[in-house]
Amino acid sequence: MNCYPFYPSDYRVEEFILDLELYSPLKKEWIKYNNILIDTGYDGDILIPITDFEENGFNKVLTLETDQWKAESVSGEEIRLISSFSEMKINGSKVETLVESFIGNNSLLVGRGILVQLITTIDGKEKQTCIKT
Amino acid sequence: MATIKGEIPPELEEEFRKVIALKYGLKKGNISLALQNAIEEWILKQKRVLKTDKKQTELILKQIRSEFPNQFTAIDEKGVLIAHGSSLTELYQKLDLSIILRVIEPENSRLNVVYKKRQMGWDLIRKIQVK
Repeated sequence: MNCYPFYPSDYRVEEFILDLELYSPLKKEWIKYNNILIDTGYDGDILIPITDFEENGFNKVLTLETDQWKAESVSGEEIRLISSFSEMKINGSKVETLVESFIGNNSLLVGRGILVQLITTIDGKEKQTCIKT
Repeated sequence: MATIKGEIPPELEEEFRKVIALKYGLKKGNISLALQNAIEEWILKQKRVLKTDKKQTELILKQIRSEFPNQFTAIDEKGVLIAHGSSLTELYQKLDLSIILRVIEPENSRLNVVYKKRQMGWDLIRKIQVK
């Protein structure tokens, strides 16, 4: 089990975060991502900034449904998702994952698609998020 | 006409100016013309990448999955098989990524999920403090 202390935030309460590694199709190596925000409102696996998406060659290995999905942000803005597949190392386990981004995206977050494969405990008393696979 | 401001590496700028001079000569307005052409071409390229036919997609999926069950496969934009592997890392190690490819997941993969809606996160930010 790995535990990650709550991450300081400008908002009212701290953020829940975790660390993981993502396999880069272009660099052919594992890329470390630390302090990724856990967002239970995102139904995907991992959303990465568009610059990372391109730098790691995810834009060269697209899924068939890349152009077929439009999402909507809470502000009502239409988002056209670009998606790729990769492998993720999380908490010592390897999982196949959907990697997504969209033009203009700067956010880096892990969604419910990953959380449903883990046992995640938000331990408010100890101010940490613990992950068990 | 609109103005776009951005920064590029000096060596790219030098190369860009050289090619413009060779192609169009050293007349005023040629940089704008070349920039317009480059942007139009880039937009078209992005649109081509993002355009696929749904029926064709289903057909390709069926063929590839029956031929390579339990394998991840990469095809080009015409549906031609480029490589396959038992895992994504194995597949990606075989690819040089000089062209844009499409990756197909095995039928029994957790990535092969049909869904109707997407949710993009709790992106509701309290920007303004009401007094």
